[in-house]
Formats: sequence, C-alpha cells, structure tokens
Amino acid sequence: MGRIWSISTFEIARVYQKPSSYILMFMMPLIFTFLFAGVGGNNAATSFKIALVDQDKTAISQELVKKMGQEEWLDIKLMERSEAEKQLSNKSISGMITIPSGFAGQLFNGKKPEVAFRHGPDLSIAGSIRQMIDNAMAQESIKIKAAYLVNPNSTGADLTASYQSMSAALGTNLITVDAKNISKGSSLDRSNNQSERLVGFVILFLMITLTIVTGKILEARKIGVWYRLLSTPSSRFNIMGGYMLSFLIIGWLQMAILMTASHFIFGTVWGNLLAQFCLVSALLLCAIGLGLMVAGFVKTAEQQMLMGIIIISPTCMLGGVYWPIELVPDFMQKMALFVPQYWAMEGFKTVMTHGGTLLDVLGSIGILLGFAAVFMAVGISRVRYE
Amino acid sequence: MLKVDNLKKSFGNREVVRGVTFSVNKGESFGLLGPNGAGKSTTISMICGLIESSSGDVTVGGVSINKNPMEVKRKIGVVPQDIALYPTISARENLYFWGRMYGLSRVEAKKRTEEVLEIVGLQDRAKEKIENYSGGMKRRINIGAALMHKPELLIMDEPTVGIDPQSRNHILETVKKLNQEGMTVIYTSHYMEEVEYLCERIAIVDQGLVIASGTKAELCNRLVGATSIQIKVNVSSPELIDTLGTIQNVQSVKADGELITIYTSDARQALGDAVALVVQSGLQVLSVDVQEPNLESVFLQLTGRTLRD
Repeated sequence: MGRIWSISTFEIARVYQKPSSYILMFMMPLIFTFLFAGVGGNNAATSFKIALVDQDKTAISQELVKKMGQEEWLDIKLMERSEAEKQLSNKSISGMITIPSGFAGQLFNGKKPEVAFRHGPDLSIAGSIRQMIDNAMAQESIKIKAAYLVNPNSTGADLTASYQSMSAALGTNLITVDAKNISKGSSLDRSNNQSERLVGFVILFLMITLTIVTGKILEARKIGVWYRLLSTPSSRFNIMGGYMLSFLIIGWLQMAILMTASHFIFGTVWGNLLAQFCLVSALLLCAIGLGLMVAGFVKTAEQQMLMGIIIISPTCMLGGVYWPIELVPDFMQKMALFVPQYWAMEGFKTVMTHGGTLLDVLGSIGILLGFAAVFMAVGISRVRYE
Repeated sequence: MLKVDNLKKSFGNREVVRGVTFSVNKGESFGLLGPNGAGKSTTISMICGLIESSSGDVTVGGVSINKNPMEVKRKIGVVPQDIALYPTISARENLYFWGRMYGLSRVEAKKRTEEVLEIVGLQDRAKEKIENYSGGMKRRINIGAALMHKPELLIMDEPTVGIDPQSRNHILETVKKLNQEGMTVIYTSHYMEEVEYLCERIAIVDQGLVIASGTKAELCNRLVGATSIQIKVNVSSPELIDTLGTIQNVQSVKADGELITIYTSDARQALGDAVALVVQSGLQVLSVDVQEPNLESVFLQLTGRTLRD
C-alpha cells in the first residue's frame, strides 16, 4: 500500500506542478460555462420570449394557454400565427408554440394531439419548454379522464361542461401538486440551462484531463522510468494501483473544486451528495478506462491525447454535453445511448434538476460502470510490462 | 553472488541470447564486453527480471529470479542504458521517489538521498530540475537512483554513453570506489578501456553467446602472437618481409608500403632481431611502435570484427 500511495502522491504532485493543469482542469470549464451558458444565474431563463398561437380556441386550449402563461421562467405572449412567424424570423422571440385546431377534440377522443414548438437552433432551454408543454398536456388529459369518471356517459358539450366544472373545482391545486412531481418548470429554479451546460463542460474537461493524465503511463515508458519502476521490488499491482489511484484522486479533486466553485460563482445546486459521489466516481472510472484503452493502442502520450480528443469531442456532441439532447434528431438520440456521456448527463440532470437520489441514478451509474469495465479490461490488458 | 545458467531469449523467431552462462563472486567487479547488439542489454534485463527468459535461470544470492523475482529485485540496483529519471522535478525529489520505490521509509529515503547526492557529487545542484542538468550530471543521478537501497549487486548497462570525459572519469571513479567498499558490480560496455579499468573478470559477448571469459591477463594469454611491432622503414622491401618471418616466436609479418607489422608472442626478443635485420638489409628505421595485446585484439581475433563494428 505504501508504494501505491507513493506513486499516487508523486504523480498527483507532478500534475499540479504544471500551471497549465489549473487552466485546463478548473478555469476552462468555468470560463466555458460563463461564456456559453450566460452569467445571469437562475434568473437567466426569465428573459426567453415565446409566442403562443391558439388555433383551437376551445375551453381546453384556453386552459392550456392560461397555464403556460403562469410559467414564471418564460415570457409567453398570445398572438396570431402570422405575427408569431414574423417575430420568430426576426428573432424578436425565441420560439413559438402552436396549439392546432382540433386539439380539444383529439384529447376528448383519448388521442395525443401534437402541439408544435418551433424555435431557433440556439435555444438551449428548448428541451425544458418541450417538457413543460408535455406536462401541461398530461395534466389536461388527466382532467378529461376525471371528467369521464365523474360523468361516464357524457359527450360533446356535456363533457366540456363537466371538464370545466372539474377544472373549476380543482382550481390550481391539481396543477400545483402535479407540477411539483413532474414539471420541469418548477425545478428549473434549482437547476436551469446554466447548470446543464456547466455539467456538460465539466464532463468534457474531466474526460480531457483524465485522457491526458492516463498518458502518464506512456510518458513513463518514453522517459525510461517505467523500466526502472519494473526493476524495483514493486509488483505490477502496486504500480498500476498507484497510477489508478492518482487518476481517481486527480479526477475527484477537479470535480470537487469545480462543484464548489460553480456553487459560489453560478449558484449551482448539485443536489444529493451521495448520489453525486457515486455518479462522479462511475464517470471517473469510465473516463480513466477510456484513457487507458486509448493508451493501449498508441505509442506516445501525444498520440494518446490527440486520439482521446478525437474520440471525446464527437461523443460529447452525441451525448448531449454541448446542447440539450432533445434538440437532435431521433436517430442521434438513439445513438447517444451508446456513449457514456449521455448516461452521465442523464444522471446529473436527475440529481440536479429533479432532485434525484442515489436510487434514481443507479441505472446511469450501472451503465457507466459497464462502460468502465469494458474500457479498463481492454486498456489494462494492453499495458506492456516488458 | 550471481549465477547465470544457460540463459536464452527469443523474440519471435529471432534468438538474441543463445545460452549465456557465467557467474560473479561477491564483491567482484565483472564486465560484460561486446559490441552493440551482442545481447548484453537483453541479458541484463533478464537478470533484473524485466523480461522473462525463454529458458535458463538466474540466481542472486541463491534466490532464483524465476521463483522469487521480488526478493531478487531487492538485492539489485539497476542503472539502465538510457536516463530513467523524471526530467521536470529535481534530483533530490527523483532520488527520494526511487528510494520509496525500493521500499525505504520516508525517513530512510530522505537520509539516503543526501548520502547518495554526496556519492555522486551533486549536493550543490540537488534542487535543480533534471532537465536542466548536463548529460554527465544526469548519468550520475541515474546511477544514484540505483544506489538508494544499498544494493548487494549493482548492474550497470552502458552507463557512460554519450557523456564528456570529465563526467566519465567521475563515474568510473565512483563505481571503482563502490566496488572497493564491497559492492558487487556488473558493468556492461562496448568501451574496452572502461571494462579493463574497472573489472577483475570479463565475459566477452557476441551474437548472444559468451565467447570467452576470464581475467584480462587470461584472455590476452589466449592469443598467440597478440603483441604487434610496427616498424616504419624508408623503402618498402618484399625480401625483408620474408626474412623477418624467420625470427623466432614471430607468427606473421604484414607490410603496408613502408609500414611493417610483426606479430609475435615474445616482443622483447623479436624487436631486437627485427631492427638488426632491417639495418643489415641497408634500410633505415624511421619509427618503432610496440602494441601489447588488449581486449580489442582478443575480440578481433575471436570474431574477426572490432568492438565498434
């Protein structure tokens, strides 16, 4: 254990000896978050202007309009379709929601009508708005079902009346209760777009950092110290254990400092710490495994870093690190299931946005550990001891 | 102290070490001499347990490297051919780290670091980063790292490659002193002078085999006609060459223009007779040079090549 600790502390000291390490590990993620996710803290989302076009003009659609208008984090304006389209093309508004005609009829018939949401490609909270629409529609659907239950044989106007009386009777209570459980809008008070982007950049730079530090093994080979290490009475387990522990500690230090700094700078709330600890540990193992695997197929630390970035950058794009995954086409969302960053993002969103606990992120952790096991098995099997 | 028994190593179909056998006594300084590519470094790597042998065994102090590699590694210190240090940290930090890797406690490693800095003569530069050192200073710390745990057996693989004469002398003196203090040393090199200076016994390695071993005197005595006398005359004379060949104890005579080389096993007698014959033939002796046998000539006779071929 003494040798493992010696190698580990020695390698950690060598990493933090370089000023560039601080820039890459701590400054870059915070600067990127500052630049690309805005600096307005949790109130930043209130400035998004969204047009709402009601082509149905029924009691249900108006109820939906009313409900969306109550969302504090959005500036929703009711307007005609032509005006909304004009403003969207002028970029006077960030997006437009269209409730189509026949909307209420479809809901009464038990179908799920399509509420269109158009927005510019740079609207980072598009996913949250889509979620808000779905939640609002789900609530209306529940009220209609309740109206049926109360008055099973009603149709048409009777059913509408029954629905209206149900709405009036429930008031906002139903919305409030359900909103706490399923609505993304209310939880955005705790973790908004900025948090999501911060997490994304943290994952990106964490993976880059660990790719670079896992190159220490290749560097050791290059400068001959690997040869000397193997000539000392240190077992392979001690040597690899020392390196692995140093990678984990470096990753954890980076994560802990970023979590603390972002909490004080951006007001980020990271949620359940136990869940975060397990999630981050799984992500670190996965990133270390990836670095080791890449190291197993190249000869120099420089090649490893280049190859690592070539792999990390596109998989981060695919995994929803740079922008909400909901913005990309369906086939890409399906492809995202095969990259670890997607599962890390999902886990972080669950803990930070939905107040998830360890139990809620066990799935993400399990999948990340699965990736880690595969990467490490390949990476460690290719470490050469001669 | 060390027994190397029929050690073999193949890489693919290529057998680079083909059955090396030798032994080194405790406190002895033993040289492995051979040209580049002879298999010296591979043999050293197998002795240190860095690569597995294809067959054969190595025992250090009676402990087999195949059976108990960690115990063997505790007994030996290895000075690799290339500098094996962390360039961006200081000499002191490097030595301390390697001390810890050899199993020293923090206190022991700290104390020994200062001792080793004194041995290699770099106390005053201990704080500087290795990358700022000269080649010779790096070599000295490279040796120092292998001394941290006071090994019973110090194995040095070409430790003076590419350094200035002053640093080379310092290293040779250091190794000599360590050996005089009781440390067993194996020194590999293709520099004949270094091996001659340091080593009591020598094994000459070529193409993966020990082709001769013994003390320098024993190796040189194996040569017949190893001493050469070079006489430069004013005019070349083929008749004189034949006459010189008749002198007692002269094995052969070669001529290159006015330069005549006589190979003999008794230089004292042959020199007088040869000069007398030259004068009798009416030629003038312009210069005379006698070369005693050395390891280079032993290697040349055994392989037909020079050590630096």
